[in-house]
Amino acid sequence: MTTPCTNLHLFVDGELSAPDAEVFRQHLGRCPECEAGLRDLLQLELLASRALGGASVAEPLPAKVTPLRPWMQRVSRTVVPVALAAGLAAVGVFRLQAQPEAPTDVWLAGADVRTLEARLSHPMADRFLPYEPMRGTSGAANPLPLRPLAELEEQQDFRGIAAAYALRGDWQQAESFLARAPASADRDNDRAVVALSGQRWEEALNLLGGALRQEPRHAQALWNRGLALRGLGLLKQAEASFRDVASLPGQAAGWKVAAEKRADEMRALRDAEAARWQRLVRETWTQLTEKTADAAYLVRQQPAVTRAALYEAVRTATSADAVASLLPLAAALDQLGEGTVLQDYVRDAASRDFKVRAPLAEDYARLVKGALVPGLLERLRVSQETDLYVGALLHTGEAARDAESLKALQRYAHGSRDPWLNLLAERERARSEEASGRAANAEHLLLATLRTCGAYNTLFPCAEIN
Amino acid sequence: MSNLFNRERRRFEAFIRQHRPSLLGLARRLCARSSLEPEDLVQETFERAMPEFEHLKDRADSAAAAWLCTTMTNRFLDYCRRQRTESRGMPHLALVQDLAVSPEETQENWALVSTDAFQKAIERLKPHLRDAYRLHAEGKRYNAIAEHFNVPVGTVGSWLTLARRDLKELLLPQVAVAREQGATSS
Ligand SMILES: [Zn+2]
Repeated sequence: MTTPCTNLHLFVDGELSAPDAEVFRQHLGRCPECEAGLRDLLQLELLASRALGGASVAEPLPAKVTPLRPWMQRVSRTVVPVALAAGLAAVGVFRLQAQPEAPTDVWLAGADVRTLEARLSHPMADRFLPYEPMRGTSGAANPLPLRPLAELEEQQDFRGIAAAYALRGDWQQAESFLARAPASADRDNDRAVVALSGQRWEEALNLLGGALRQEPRHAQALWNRGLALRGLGLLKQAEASFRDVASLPGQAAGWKVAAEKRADEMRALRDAEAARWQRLVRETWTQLTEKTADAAYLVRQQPAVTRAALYEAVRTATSADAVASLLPLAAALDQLGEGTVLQDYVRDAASRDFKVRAPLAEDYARLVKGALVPGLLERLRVSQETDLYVGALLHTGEAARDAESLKALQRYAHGSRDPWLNLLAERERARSEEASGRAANAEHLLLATLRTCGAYNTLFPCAEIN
Repeated sequence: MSNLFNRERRRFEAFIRQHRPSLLGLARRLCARSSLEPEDLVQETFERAMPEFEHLKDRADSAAAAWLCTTMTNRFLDYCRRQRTESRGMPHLALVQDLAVSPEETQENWALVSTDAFQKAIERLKPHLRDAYRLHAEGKRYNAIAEHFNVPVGTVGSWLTLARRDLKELLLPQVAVAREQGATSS
């Protein structure tokens, strides 16, 4: 009888000819009896080998390189501790020496777009590619190949491993490997990338600050700083950081162009936001002066814009009655926060001498509409109408250029106990620091001011701090 | 963390060093005259062991070996099925590989057989069967064993088949005993 089933023992013992062995392997795939027999037989043979030590005479490690098989990709989809992979590598099941260079697909060499906006320090993970925001999960589509990971671990290239995880969006793994990498500007940069992934802008900014103190021209850190600053709403600083990247010599042309483009975007965004804000304030101011405003609606829907428009309405009113008519609105806005700073301001303005104030208010109104009457700043400075002077300083940006003007602004803001005016005074102080070449101070001040502003929730337009 | 990392790594290395030679011996026989590399089969088996190592590392040697053997057999059967479907242009069948083998439930019979039990069992075989099987276990081919006993090669195949049948009969009751002992002692 020569049914294939009778060949099981011969097959297991390697005694079949090549064609017969092939036939038997095909048979194995569909014969449950032979499958069960094979399982039993192999268990017995393994036990015999362990008990009698036959096959366990010391074997030299195989010299042949085993190619990376597709099934490794399947296997590595499961979470496999790298420690164990490293164990495999060390024992020589992966032959490291034969393949010293880590295959580049660890860092998605085959990708034609970047899904990660931030830049990692590892050169292999920082190739320039067009950026496309993540669609779906790239991690599942690009499982980590195990063997190169083990090789990187052998080489203690923890930053490389972290980069591989980061490219797949596995931030937790990335972070834990970065924790084991030696301190360096590169490591701080990569840790900042992890922070950026969690929108922890300030943490990222701190780490990048550290990296840039060590290496002021660190391209990735400067790029990532741009992202962190954008996240914080500091568009002007973000723009500057991207311009710094663009000006660095010796980098891929793609990065240079991309940085330039980002910088332009930051500027455009800032301009658009400023224009939108000014338009809204001017529209609301017009409604207030023409008495067509629905005060209750404005306070409810856009308290920040209404507050800014209220200052302008008070400053541009040419009679005590006109000012006094704004009192209910001031009271309503005061109710959103606490205290009575706006009502106090309206009452104080209504008590001014309008024979003196009205002509100044009319010229101030021209400034609000965009036309600066020559000599207006000086006339306001020497007048008693300090609120108009302060308004003009804010419109013209003079306080950032002139120390005396800044002091006047700060004095007035402080005296008014109006938190928004104090925030604006801080903003002007930061701008004056920047104008004097102390950019780091300026950034520090702006961040502190933003933090204060944020504490008021939506009461103030914090974007205006930028 | 690093200490834990290194400790785990060393334990896994030791695990591989302990089991790799006998697995490779088996794999070489299974893969003989095929396009499948025995080293790949073994490597893949250890890769499968990585996610399970948490459970495997504290189990008895016999249980770990049985798990590795089952896993390697599954890998091999996959290969056979894939060859079959590919050679016939059929869609891939549901492959054994997709069924995770949990260390707790595999090859429960063999997981309980120790090497001591095997050594006692082989002593109880008829002398010619015992000696033939020993030579086989040392890696001797059929023709070498046949020469040693001055018998036809076909006879060696029969002897080994008989030796295996007897070993199984001797060892499987031991499994039942080990089970009972496990049940009463726990
Ligand atoms: Zn069969």
